[in-house]
Amino acid sequence: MVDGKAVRDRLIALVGIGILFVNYPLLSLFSRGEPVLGIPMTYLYLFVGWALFIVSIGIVMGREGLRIRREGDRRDGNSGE
Amino acid sequence: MPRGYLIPLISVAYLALLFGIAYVGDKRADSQRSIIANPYIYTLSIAVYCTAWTYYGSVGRAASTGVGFLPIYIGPTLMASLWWLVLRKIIRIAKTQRITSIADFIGSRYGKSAVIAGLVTVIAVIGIMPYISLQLKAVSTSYLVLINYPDVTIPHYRDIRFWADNAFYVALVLATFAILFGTRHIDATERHEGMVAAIAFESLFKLIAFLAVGIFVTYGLFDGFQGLFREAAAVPELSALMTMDAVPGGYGGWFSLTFLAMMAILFLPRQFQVTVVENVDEAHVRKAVWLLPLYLLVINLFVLPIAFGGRMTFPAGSVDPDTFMLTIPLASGQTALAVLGFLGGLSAATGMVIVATIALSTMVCNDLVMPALLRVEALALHRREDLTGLLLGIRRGTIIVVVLLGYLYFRLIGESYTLVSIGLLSFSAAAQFAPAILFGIYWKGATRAGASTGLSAGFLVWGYTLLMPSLAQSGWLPQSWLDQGPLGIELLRPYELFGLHGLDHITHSLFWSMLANIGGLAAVSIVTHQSAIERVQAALFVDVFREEGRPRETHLWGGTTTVGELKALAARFLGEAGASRAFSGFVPAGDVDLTEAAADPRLVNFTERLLSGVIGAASARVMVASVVKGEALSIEGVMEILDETSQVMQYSRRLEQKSAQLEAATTELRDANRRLQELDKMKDEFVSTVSHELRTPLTSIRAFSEILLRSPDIESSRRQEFVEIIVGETERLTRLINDLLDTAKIESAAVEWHKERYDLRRVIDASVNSVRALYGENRVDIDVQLPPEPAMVEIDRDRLLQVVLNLLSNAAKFCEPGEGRVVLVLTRQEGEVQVSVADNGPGIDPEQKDAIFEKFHQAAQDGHKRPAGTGLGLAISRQIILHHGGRIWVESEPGHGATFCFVLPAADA
Repeated sequence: MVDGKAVRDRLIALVGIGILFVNYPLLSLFSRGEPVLGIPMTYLYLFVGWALFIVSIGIVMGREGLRIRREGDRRDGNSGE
Repeated sequence: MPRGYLIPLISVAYLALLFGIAYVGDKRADSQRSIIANPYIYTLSIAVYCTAWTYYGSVGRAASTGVGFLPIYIGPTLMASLWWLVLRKIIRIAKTQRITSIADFIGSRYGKSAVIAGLVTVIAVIGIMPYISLQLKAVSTSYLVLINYPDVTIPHYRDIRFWADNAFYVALVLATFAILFGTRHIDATERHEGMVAAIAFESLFKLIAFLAVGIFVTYGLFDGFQGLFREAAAVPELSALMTMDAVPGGYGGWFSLTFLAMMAILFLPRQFQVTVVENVDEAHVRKAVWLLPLYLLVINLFVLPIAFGGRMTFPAGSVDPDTFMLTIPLASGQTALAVLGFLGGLSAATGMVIVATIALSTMVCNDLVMPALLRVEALALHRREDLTGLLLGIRRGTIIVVVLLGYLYFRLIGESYTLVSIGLLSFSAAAQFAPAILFGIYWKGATRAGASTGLSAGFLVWGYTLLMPSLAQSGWLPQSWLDQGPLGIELLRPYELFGLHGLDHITHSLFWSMLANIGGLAAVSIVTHQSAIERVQAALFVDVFREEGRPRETHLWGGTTTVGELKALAARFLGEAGASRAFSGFVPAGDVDLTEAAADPRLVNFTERLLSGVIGAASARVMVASVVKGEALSIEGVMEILDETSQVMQYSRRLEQKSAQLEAATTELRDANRRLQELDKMKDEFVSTVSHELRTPLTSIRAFSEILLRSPDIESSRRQEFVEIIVGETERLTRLINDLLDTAKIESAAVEWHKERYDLRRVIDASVNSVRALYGENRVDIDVQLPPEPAMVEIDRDRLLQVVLNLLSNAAKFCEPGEGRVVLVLTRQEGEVQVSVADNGPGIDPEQKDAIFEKFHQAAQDGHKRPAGTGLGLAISRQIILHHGGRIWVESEPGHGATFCFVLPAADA
């Protein structure tokens, strides 16, 4: 089961990866003007990476939400006993 | 087209709609049916981050730098993923401490310091001033563009008087609006639900307006994203914008903007206001963590297309790219869309100005003006009855002053800077709060002196390397000041401080200011000490999540006051009704008696927190201190909560000690009880033995006496025999009673001891002489071995004689006549004198070794022969030896005789 500490670690890892990918030198690899799918590569890279990052946070936080709800249920269940 | 009348009319209608939303929001809040209590409204309210800068400035920056505008939104995206850790902690602290602003937060952390809160307020006001001017500039420019189109040249502001300047009226309208929203009444929670509702609506509105214009440009004027970028790639100036090479400052500048934006999303005063102070439920953060980045992504999707579209629509330099949002629809004849675009920009600007000025007015009022006024004795504010009016007045005045300061800055530098450059000035100022807050919530060691050093140093560097150059570039300071440095000192050139060059202005300033800020904070914190209240606050902030589960009430107020005084104090800031409501709400929280004359410390704490919500922590402390008599902070109270762990550890250590003591006491008691029971048993045995011992001789005396009485004609030889028996038995009785009396006397310490220094050898000689007859009678040999030198001891001679006699006669008794041999040895050892009396009798069972020293214990003898003693001799001997500080014991193996030994402390001079 995922606990609060694991969520913390995942979030910190995500930020680390995020900072790595939108900065020099990784960013410079994609700093090209030629179009990919009709969009300049730099733009496509940044916006798609951005979207993926949001999806990743969404997944981590969604699980955290489930966990909190489960814990809440368990607490309620215990108090009802 | 009468746009000159229509636009102001539409604008006012829009503002009226906003006000309506705010009004409904406040009403719903009053009736406990909050419309803002969900994560979506929360996220939209945080999107107040997107101001006119985003709305107009991003397009302008994209038109000249490509993706150069993006770090401002990527930074918050990265930061948002840490919100669940950082922001949640800040919110929890703010809620428990009733924080009303960022100044209050930092001031509270560093010992409720009014100085630090004031410093933060000053930095915030000066730092935000350019930002507000940016909004004024945007609204006024967009208004002019809309009514003057196609004449898009913007008049020089220096040429117009302020009363003819529409930006001045924009400023006044926005100030009025902020006053209506934010300062309608004084509230103990300092939350503005209506304002948040209106801000959320504005965020939604500006998003829709921006998307509408973006979609029109991308799909109406061009052939979608691909088509637009294909066309742009054909233009050399535009295709040059499609890589990172176009970004000013390169990767370094890119990184520093990202960092600035990461800090700004949390620590701009208005962001702090909406994310922390206005937060309804910290669980909302969970959704905002990804919803806000999503909002930022969506609103930025069309920035590049609009920028490129504008550059391709208008000849180079003919139209300011900052106005593309309006000029492109206007050029295409889409007036309605342009008006929608204008309203979107208006909503972005008003949202920022409203929240920023409300946040600043709270700070200025609570952390700057009130603490100052409260300290001015002449005003006697301590005794003023109702201060709510004064508070509102200060806040309203502050809003007007702040907006006018923004206008002033706008007039000073308005034209020489783009929107984004102005905004970045403010971002850099807000970043100065980051070290004090982040260090403050994770490092208990950060001190008040450290924080004020860091804040002031960072702020001064910021002012020197960014704010003053901005004034210089606008001609308000000599240009040489920039180029050659002040007084011609090149090392001090503001853009190349100490010769550091190669960095863009923002990165350059960020480096030096953060170095001064973090360095100052850390270094001074390490070398200074915290006062008691600083330590308390540091612990409360850093350990906020550990606080749960134990009572938060800490008795920091050592003095005394009355309930009435506290209530009167609260009423002055909250009004009579508000105070009564708050106080009656406090009763269920505990068993505090509100009718009691002397106020409970918890009530004092409660009042302080209540007031904190209205006038800030520092002022609240001053106010409460004015009614609490006596020591403000009890050191016991401080120590009580200083460090939870150490306290608990100490407590458990004390418990352990206590329980060990109890255990020891229990053991002692149990031993004593057992001893008592033994003694009781011994007493019973003693009584029964004594009775027995007494009765035996008595019985025989009586029997023989009766025979003599009833038989007068008994032969005289028999008579003689009987009388001898009677006399013998009487002697035995006498001896027994003497011994009993002796024992009793020794035990009850009633004996008088006549101690003096004596040679033990002489005592032994005397004893041996007096038993010689007995030994001769029993045919037992005695061998006495004495050392040649005297063995001096401090003794009662007669008593010790008794002991030696007893041992010698015992030895003789147990020896077989004719074979018996007794050896008495006197030896000297280390500080002791030992006497041992060995016989060659039957010996003593090991289990009897201790028992034979008990009273009436007589070693079992083979056969019927009963020893001729009272059974008290050894018991008495032991008492005597013990009294002399010695020991007595017996060594024996059954069948090989027994050796009785005693030692006495030597009394050599």
